[in-house]
Amino acid sequence: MIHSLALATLTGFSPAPLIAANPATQDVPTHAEREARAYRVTSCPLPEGVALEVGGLEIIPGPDGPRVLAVTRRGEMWGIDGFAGRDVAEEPVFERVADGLHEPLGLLRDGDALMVACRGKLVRLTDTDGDHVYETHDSVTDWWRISGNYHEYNFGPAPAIDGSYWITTNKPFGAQPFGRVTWRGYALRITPDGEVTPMCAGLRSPAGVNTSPTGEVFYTDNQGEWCGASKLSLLRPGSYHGHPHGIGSTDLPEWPWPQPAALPEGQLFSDIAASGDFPAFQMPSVWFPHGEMGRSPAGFVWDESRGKFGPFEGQIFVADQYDAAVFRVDLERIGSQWQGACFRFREGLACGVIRVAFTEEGALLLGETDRGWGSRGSLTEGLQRLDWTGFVPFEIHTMRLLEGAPGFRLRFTSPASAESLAELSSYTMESYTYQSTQRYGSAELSRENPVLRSATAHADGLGVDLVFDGLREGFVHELDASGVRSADGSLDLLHAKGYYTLIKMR
Amino acid sequence: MSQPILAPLALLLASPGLAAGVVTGLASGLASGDLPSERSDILPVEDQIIASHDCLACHDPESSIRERLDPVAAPDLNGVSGRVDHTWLVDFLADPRGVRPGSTHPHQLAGLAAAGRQRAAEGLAAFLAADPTTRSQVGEPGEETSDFGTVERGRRLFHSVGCVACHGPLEDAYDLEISLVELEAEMRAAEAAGDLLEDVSDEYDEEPLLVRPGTLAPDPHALPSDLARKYRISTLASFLEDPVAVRPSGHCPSMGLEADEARAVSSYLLRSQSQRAAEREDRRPGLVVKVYEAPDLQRGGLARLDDLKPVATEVVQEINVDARTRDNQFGLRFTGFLEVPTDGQYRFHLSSDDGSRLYVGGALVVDNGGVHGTEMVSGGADLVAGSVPIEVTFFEASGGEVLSLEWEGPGVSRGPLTAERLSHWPLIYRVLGADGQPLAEPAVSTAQPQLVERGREAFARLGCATCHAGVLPGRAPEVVRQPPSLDDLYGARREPLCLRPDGRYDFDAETAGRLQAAFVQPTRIAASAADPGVLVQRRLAGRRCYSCHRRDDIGGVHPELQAFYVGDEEAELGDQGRFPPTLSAVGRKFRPEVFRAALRGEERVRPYLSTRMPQMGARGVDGLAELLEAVDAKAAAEVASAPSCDMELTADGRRLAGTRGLGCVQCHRFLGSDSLGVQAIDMGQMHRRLRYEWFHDLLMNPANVDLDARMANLWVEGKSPVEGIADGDIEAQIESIWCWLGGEENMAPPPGLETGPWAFEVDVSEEPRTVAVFMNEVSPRVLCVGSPTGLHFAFDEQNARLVKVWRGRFLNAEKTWKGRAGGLEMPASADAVDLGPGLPVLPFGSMTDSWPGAADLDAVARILGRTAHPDGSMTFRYAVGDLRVEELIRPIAVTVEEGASTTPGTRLGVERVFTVRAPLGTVVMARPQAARRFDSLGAGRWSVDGGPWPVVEVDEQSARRARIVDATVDGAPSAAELRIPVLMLPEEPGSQTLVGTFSWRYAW
Repeated sequence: MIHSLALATLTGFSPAPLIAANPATQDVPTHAEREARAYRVTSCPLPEGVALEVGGLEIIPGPDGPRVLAVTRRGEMWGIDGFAGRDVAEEPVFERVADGLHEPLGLLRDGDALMVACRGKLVRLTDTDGDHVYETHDSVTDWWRISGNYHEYNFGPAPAIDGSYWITTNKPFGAQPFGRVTWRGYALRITPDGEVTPMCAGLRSPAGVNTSPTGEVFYTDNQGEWCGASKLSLLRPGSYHGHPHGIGSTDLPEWPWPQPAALPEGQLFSDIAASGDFPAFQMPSVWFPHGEMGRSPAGFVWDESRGKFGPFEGQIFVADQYDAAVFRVDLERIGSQWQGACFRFREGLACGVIRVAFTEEGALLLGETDRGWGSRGSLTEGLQRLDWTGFVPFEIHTMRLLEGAPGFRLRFTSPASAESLAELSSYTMESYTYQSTQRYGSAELSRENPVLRSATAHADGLGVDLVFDGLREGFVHELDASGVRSADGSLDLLHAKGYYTLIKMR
Repeated sequence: MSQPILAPLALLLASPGLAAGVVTGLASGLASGDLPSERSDILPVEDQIIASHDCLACHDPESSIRERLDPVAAPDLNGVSGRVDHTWLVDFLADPRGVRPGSTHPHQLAGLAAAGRQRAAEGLAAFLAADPTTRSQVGEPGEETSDFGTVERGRRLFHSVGCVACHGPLEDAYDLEISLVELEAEMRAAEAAGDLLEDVSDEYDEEPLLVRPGTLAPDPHALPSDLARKYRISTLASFLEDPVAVRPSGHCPSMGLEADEARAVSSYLLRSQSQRAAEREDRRPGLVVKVYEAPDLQRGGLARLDDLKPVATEVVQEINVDARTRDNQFGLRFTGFLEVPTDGQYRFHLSSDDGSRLYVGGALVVDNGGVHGTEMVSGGADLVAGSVPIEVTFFEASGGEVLSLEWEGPGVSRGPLTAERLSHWPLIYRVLGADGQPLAEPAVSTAQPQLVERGREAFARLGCATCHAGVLPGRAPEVVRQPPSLDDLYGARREPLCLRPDGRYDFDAETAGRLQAAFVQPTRIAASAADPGVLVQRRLAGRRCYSCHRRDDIGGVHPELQAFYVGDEEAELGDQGRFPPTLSAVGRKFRPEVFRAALRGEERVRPYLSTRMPQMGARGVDGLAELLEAVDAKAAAEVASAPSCDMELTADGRRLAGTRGLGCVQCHRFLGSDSLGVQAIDMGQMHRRLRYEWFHDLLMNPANVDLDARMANLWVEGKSPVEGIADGDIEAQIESIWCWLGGEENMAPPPGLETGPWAFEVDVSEEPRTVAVFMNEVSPRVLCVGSPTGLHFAFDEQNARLVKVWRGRFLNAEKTWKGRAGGLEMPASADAVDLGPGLPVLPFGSMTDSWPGAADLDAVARILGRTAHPDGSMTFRYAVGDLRVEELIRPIAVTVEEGASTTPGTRLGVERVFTVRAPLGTVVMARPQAARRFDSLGAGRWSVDGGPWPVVEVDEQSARRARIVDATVDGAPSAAELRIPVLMLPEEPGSQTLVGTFSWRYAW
């Protein structure tokens, strides 16, 4: 029998001390505060009972300012008033304007109509009686079969400059209750009257597809088997992107291009590209190193806001469905190859972001869902927007190949201190590539550290030319410019790393 | 504590007030207006005795009085020798009340001398053992084992399922919260400390209990004191599993114990046997460890262990992780005793990866919980010398796993707890006989034919078969001597043999006198039983229904026993969640077949009650339902009649049940899902079980049918708080809810219930909805269209045809909307029709050829589009070869008037309106229906397959052209088809395009 218990617990263990208040906190904001100072996040309150699992976003003129149209994975389309204008309403108004779409994962405004890629068909939605409800659904095509597998998502459409629509088809995982089907892992071109042409093969999980301002169609793919790292790639007609699941369909007469060869197991992509044996294989424009640059790139959009969204005019903003973040990509064209660098841009969003769209006034809408997929963030679905506050963050603006010598030219969003720019120890660089393998993702392989020979600051303080020994084609060149300080020396770069995917030397 | 724990049963049973058998109390009924307080106030003592001894089995077996008395039937002897201990049987027959005080068995051998009794008893037992029907049918008894977990489980079951209603508790409710092992430890510690614990129950006894008038005093029918002699664990368990098989009148009812539960109760009741294998104090060195596995241990941590069943149990000599069955996602619980050498303060150091806790004497001493790497936490406790219960819990989520415990204190230098200081109760006991020897088949000499024959003769001579069934006719000679009948006894002044002291029974003088008076004037037996109301009371009293149930101011759980009626506290239903329901008005509460099933104990709709409705067998409840129905129907002043329902009423009812209506879903479960608040009876059960008039009265005011109802009155000052439905008319609202409940397992969930599977229910009560799905056995491109009309349909967009129509609930899209989805959907209602294979319209001209598939005509069907209309109808546009079809599909009511072969009625169905365009020269045929047969109802209307429903009806124009043709449908012979040759006319004069329109309606 215990008479009394003197509970002297916790004597063997002292809890970690609270993080001491940093006296400098007032002056040096945290990383998150620095991101927020430049780009403000606003969340859209959802009415009770609305599961806004966004699959596609568009903005149309509404009766009271711009109206967001969002298709959801539950097959509904919501009209949302009061969220895409200059000011955000306290309670944006939701109206269900269509339903019965089969897990749509894309939305494109096309005149007064809307184009939606569903699982089973590409649909044109029209509001024939002007009541904002899209009661008429025309089937543009249901040319492809589906197996009943959950993973046979379709994405898009993206508008091609010839007036056709491009969609990408995901490959299945697991049960196919209605039988295995063809044309999975493809980019398909569809004319407005429903004629379908397969354009590209070997896609894995092509969650984003969009057309560049120059009229070329790009897509994002998610790391996994036969896709060593997530990537942004050009959908060059007739190109093959490495996943062999659907390669059999290229035997069919509907495939109008030379038949691509499957890639060998275990070979480095750099070697595959260099060998010349795989002419159809398309090297990516940008690889997104796993973990550091998210895990699941999805929708993307070019910044054509003419500065309304800050200093990154012409660059690409890429949603990451896992990371609840948006990344930034800057491309340049070297010969026939689009290639470039990616940077972290804004994180800490409420949920994984799958779709992005710019409003008239240059705010970036973020459509979110993680149902069945998982993501960072506190919510499972929703709609947010990013607004540039007018404050210019201290960032690497561009990272491009240097002309005249092997190396990179960095430009910054605001002046840096000349001493830190010229200091070789301000920079480190590592290069690596990936292999083509049936295993789930590839490690970063054949790692090397190119040697920095010189760092020449630009006279305007906004750039530096870095000359390296040992740059390699077919490799990611990961630059860490942590030593670069702002002109007054008070700040380091908000995101000091740039990942340049070097496919072709200048 | 006034008694040692684990004492032999006899000790426990010797407590005063529990010895029973003979009932004393007031003789006769109550003055009108008085509420009874004793069972004997309802059922006179002599009636109870005559029933419990079944006196009339001898004295007036065929009389209606005997039937009304509901007598206790003697045990069925079939298999008796395998059921009971042979020695016990001999001893019992030789002296029934000597062996079993209070037994109602007549001492048939009372007239013999001691030696003769013994011989006769041995003969009877030998006969029963030798006879093929009475001989053991349970096989050879093996070695009996038991364990503490089982005893504890049986202890809880005995005190919670309802055994206490008749037998009274065997322990204080207060003690049940502590394990027998801990009680033992407490007692020993108290003894060691030299002070006896006070019997706290005495203090409670001083508190006057608030007894509600009409509640009957506990009247325990004590458990027989010879259980341990008569049974072994396995034989008592098989009796408990189905007592009615042995005691056919069901006075000891089945409590619905599963085999393992029956064994647990048996182990508890016979726990003195469990102890025979070894000295009680014989604990073994080391601790018991239970091993758990679960995939999500990092979430719940140690608390999860309480919900899990161990995957392994073993004895270990030290505390570490060696007992684990895998390296991640496992938990351990060590229990046992620590031998403390001297009084003083001890310190414990518990290291683990991940979390762990140490309890000493039931108190938490070290808390090292949570997911973490190897960390040590220490704690101290003042302990007295002796053994103290300890428990260590531990879990490992993933990664490394470490667990160790050290202690230090007076005379103990810091180090691990060594095996010799740790002890535990043995897990498994081998049960020995009363003589300390292993149990074995008793040595009965069946090879003594003389003994068997003597028993056989005695069995007949003594009239055993008068009461006992189970001995096959012809096995024993016919009973020859007839006992005196009631008529013989009428007016007798001589004391009958049964009532003499030292005779067959040992009634005391007063009881004997009362019984004699009853027999002298047999009309006094069951005197007022002609009045059905009284008869009901007597039946309920006789069967002790009043111990649990209250009915019309009588009965209910007595305060002394209330502590044993526990419910699932999470249901949060208060007393209604722990006491069985009222029986007031029960005769008009249930539908007849449900009522009978409920009386048989087969209706289990209150999962929150730990008490179980006893199953008394057919004889036990025979006639009771009719009796209650007759009495209560008479009592019902106004009987509401069930409404006739339509879709609108049903939809209203659903809205009323929801959160924005009357809020039924706040408290009542729905088809297995939790309600939003307390967890009262499932709404899916109500329509199946209840009569409308009772339901109506309940909703009008719950106090109408149950004064103690937890349910609140729904109406505010006689008005419905929901004015928007049925204009706030209360009668109409009650009817609506009833109509909605009529959907039973196909009911649509009430608005507001958006948890569990109902989170994906597609609500079409306010507006039409469409959902695209993969549909089982159809295709992966199916559009489901639902509307507030209650008529819904599925269109296969892959093959461009209507495939299913259904009424009732629309769709639960869980397989499409939950997680990664990708499942195959079905309509949410079973009231669905598959529209069979084939397209409804083809470019085809023959009235005699069988209906082709689209592929046969090279007329590929493909969807072109659709337009939704606000009323829930939808137009589909599709191509069939060169045909361009627009098909409007619309919910519609189809009415059939009375005809020679039909019953009139209106049903919800579907209308399909077609507009077909085709190039000049195309012939077009429509086929509304294929069936086994059609019967014309005139005017373009047919009943299908022998009717009255389904009915198909074509438009007026088509009616002139439509024909029933013989056809082969999927190779089935003697099939028929309704076909319409479509009139195709140029769209406008000179047009190259023909157009034809037609429509039909279908309802089933």
